[in-house]
Amino acid sequence: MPVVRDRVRRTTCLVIAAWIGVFVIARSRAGAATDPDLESLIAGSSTCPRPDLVLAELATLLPPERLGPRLHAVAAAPAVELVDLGAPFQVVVAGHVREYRDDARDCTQRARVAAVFVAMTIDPASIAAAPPAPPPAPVATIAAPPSLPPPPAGARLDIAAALDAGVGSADRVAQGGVALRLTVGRERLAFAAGALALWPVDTSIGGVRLRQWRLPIDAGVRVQRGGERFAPYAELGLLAAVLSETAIQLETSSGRTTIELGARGALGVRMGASRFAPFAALHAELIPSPPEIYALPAGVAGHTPWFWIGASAGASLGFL
Amino acid sequence: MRAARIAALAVLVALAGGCGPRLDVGSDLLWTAQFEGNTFDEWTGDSAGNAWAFPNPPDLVELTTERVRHGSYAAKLTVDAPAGSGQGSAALSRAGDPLPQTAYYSAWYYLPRTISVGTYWVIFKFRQQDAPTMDELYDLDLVNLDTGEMSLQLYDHRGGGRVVPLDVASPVVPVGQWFQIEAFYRNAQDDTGRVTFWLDGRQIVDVAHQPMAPTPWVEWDVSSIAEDLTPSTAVIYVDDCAVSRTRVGPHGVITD
Repeated sequence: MPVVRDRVRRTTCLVIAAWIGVFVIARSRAGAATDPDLESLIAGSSTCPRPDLVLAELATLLPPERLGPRLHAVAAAPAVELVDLGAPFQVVVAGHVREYRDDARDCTQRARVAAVFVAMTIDPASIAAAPPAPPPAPVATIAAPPSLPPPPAGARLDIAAALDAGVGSADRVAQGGVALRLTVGRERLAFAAGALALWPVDTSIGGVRLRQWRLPIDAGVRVQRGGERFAPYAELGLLAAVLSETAIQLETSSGRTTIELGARGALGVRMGASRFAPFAALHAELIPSPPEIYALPAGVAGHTPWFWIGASAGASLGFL
Repeated sequence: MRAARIAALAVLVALAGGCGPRLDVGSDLLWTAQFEGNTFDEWTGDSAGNAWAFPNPPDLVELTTERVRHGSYAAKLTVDAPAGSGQGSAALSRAGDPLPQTAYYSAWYYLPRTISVGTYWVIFKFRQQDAPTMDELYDLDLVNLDTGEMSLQLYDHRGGGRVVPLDVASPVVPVGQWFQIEAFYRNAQDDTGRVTFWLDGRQIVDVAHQPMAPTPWVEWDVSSIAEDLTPSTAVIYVDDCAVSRTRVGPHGVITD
């Protein structure tokens, strides 16, 4: 009997010692979990899982010397937000959202799942180095984390086919060509410059048949709005155009080249924000003092167009 | 910063200044005569033209500063054609290869006074190489209206000769001021031939869709050829003559 009594006593002591050990360890972990600073970092209206349960589970996954600093390092406030949506629930950590589904509403299991997601988000190295076996996920992930939009390109090169029509002269003229534009700046206001190389075209001014070639070059500002699908913009700037006119049916003819000065405006839209995006634009050019065409015996036959309007469409290449 | 402001100001001034450059792209003039060299070389220098008067004297072709339309010199054609004394002639002419098959012919005239025309007074003439008409083709004549004013008449020498009715009834030729006579002449031997006349830019007659001269040869005369004038001595001043591939018109420019 004394032997049995000793065994019971010894067993009782061992159980008591074990409980004391477990209690001490639990207290030490619970001390971290009940840190009021950390409790404020895990918040939300969720009752299943409750934030304190998630914190407690998190404390089992990360040592206190890592858990506190990692949660404090999260820029958002609170660092972790729990949202109970009934069968689904959401865990939001540093802008990353993960939604789980648990029809059984097992709040303890939910707390473990949420804690694993939080730990993997705030301290992935620790989890990768010593991953505690994650509890079997009771739910399926149904929402992908949102992807942040890529930063806009610092510069864009637009290459387009263009059509330009001159009006405001006795005879209208239309020319096709290639437009090249460079835009520098990520902000709402950017620098823009470009050139439009127009193919030579035969036209007539005041009855004088001419072969006309034109190369407008402009520089100004672009006001732009960012957008995932459409990025509209407007431009305003000054323009200088190289203009060459050669009479093609006069008895004696000579080519003449001059520079036109004016202003240019444009409205356009780029489809998408990717590095390679299509775009289309309308532009207008105002030439207050267009050159006069002079030929004998007509004298001043007329002037070249003082207003040009056109359209372009092509590709916008982002870089920088 | 200051430089940028100055540059911006310069651009604005250039934009608003209305200083569009003039692009001189060429000329459709084939030949001009303005007499500014105080010679008839423009007419006679290439041996394709002539300046002549008959009988001389009293008929004369001279350079003058008495009346000029532009510059310092003009031509003065004087004829003396009393009744019964035959024809008086003073003319400036161009003929042959320098004249194209199709061209506009322009000359400015000044009549100092009204003259009574007894028989005819030719001031603008096309000739052809055709013996039956004595090389004559179309005459543009000065005639008198009942109102006492002077007018124009087109005479076709072919087929025995006939007056061609004008599209404009009795156009008045101004006296004491410069006026322009311009003609379009396409010397075709088929029905694409055409001759059209304008007085001060107003079309007065158009003879189209019929053969002109029998050969491509063309002669154009700016003349004063008359018979039976009262008073018998008549003066016409001539300036700014041109042959052009496009119409000169009353506002045309024949010199830079």
